[in-house]
Amino acid sequence: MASEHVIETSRLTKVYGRGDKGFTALRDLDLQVRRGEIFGYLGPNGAGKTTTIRMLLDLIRPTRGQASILGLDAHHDSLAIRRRVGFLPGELNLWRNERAIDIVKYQGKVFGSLDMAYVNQLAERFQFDLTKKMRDYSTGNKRKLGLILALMQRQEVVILDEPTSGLDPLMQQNFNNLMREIRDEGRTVFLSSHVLSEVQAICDRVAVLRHGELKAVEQVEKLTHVDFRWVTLKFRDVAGIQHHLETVPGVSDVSTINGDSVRLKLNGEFDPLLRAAVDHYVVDLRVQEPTLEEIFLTFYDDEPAVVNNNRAKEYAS
Amino acid sequence: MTGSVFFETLRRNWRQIIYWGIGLALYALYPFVLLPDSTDGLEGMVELMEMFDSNMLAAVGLADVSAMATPVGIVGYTINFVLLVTAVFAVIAGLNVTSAEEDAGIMDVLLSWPIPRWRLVIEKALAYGVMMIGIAIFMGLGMLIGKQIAPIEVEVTNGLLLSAALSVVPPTLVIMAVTIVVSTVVRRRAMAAAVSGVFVVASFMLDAVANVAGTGFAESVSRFSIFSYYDGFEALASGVDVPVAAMLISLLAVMVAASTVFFHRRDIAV
Repeated sequence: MASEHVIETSRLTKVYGRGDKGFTALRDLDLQVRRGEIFGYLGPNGAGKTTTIRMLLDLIRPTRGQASILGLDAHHDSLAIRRRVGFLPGELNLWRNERAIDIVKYQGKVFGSLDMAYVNQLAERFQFDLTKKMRDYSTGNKRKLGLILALMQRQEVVILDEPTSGLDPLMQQNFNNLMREIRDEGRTVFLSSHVLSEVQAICDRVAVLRHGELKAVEQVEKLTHVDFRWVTLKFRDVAGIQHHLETVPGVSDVSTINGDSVRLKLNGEFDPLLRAAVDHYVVDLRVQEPTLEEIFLTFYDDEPAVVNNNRAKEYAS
Repeated sequence: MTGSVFFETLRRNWRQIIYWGIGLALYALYPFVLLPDSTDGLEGMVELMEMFDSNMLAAVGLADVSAMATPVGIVGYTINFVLLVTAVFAVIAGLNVTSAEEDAGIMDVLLSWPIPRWRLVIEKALAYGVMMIGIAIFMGLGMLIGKQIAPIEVEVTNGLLLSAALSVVPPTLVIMAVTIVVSTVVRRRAMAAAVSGVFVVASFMLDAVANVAGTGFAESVSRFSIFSYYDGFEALASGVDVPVAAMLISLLAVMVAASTVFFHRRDIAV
């Protein structure tokens, strides 16, 4: 496998169980992550994100296919990889009776190096007290320690599974800034998430996973510039307009809201819609780009209702 | 870094050496304290025991009641059961090698650090082995103190008392190794604890039944019981049985090696 990519998988597949009871958690994943990018790995719970990450770190073995990090085979060169990769698991569990500082020191001993100044810098940044026992920390604070452990060795690659779950907004902002700094240093971040705003805020590229299958890999900007937007037209008299607009080319999902406005989804150019609306007195016109969540859900053909419901709630409020 | 898991395991568990050590020292001390102050008292005790059913006595390790006619016999009989106590430590230690952290979901973090799986198993097993030796030394010290304060002279050398205490280490570590093997195969802590517990109880029962039967076949079968490899009377009479200890340590090494293979081959549980 070529080593030009920092992370690379080829037909990576994981099936749990055997025979009829077998469950395919990940199917034929072909993925390439480039050096120096923040790569978002997006999908709902159960999509196969954690399974992928655990195979990359050799915690579980693929049923078929292969994976490499930094040109090293994920299984055979696992030890060398783990020396060069920082990791935060999705569900972080640590020794309840140990103090955070002792866990940090333990990791330092295993790696054979410990830069306490950098650890303290990270702790200060996350406003984290290293002196308490694990059992005394909140979920968010445990997450902070997980991030410190994942970042303190300054490895070339950082793999983070749902990194910001449990972090408050201020800490999320700190986290986002830290990830950008890591990218600017030429290091690579592989970040799984189902929090789309997080991915939208910091990732350069994003892969979308659904039911164990890769649905898309795209630049975040490209994903956010898909060819549809939500349009809300407020009329002086809305009677009969909804039916009229439904016939306009490129218009779909038309609905009347608040008794005076029509909300619709527009694909393509504006001109047909404007020509159709020109016979009526338009009080207001608002255009909204689709969120990454909506774009993300367009990959889920069987779940468009979620998009519409969310959008309806947003407008209703 | 080599040794990091070993030293970390010791750092986290050194108090266990003291707690278990004091417990076993007191256990080893108490038969000395309870000794009668004359040989008449010992003979009376033997006569009392002879009134019980011989099969029942054999089942509890007293096939030859006359052994109880000496202070050393009484001490030997009492420490015969120490393996039943150290077996608890062995199962807990065995579970702590992989099962406890895997069951608690900590293994994902630990194995994301550059630690080979085989090293994790071996360094932890070694650390618990060292802890067991420490606990046995405490037990030996308990017997040394007991000898000094006993109301009657106990005719056994200090070296033999320490040897008797150390003799419990190899069979205890074999029980730990069985637990490690089970843990690396079945993954879940509760299951590993249950299987190891059944092994200990079945092993003890097998030894007891073989003692009652006393036939050649039963004696042969009893060799499959780990409890047949620790005899308090023998340990006080002749110290560590080196061939038996060597055999048990070899068995221990094979089982730990096998568990590294099992652990290396399989997925880490979520």
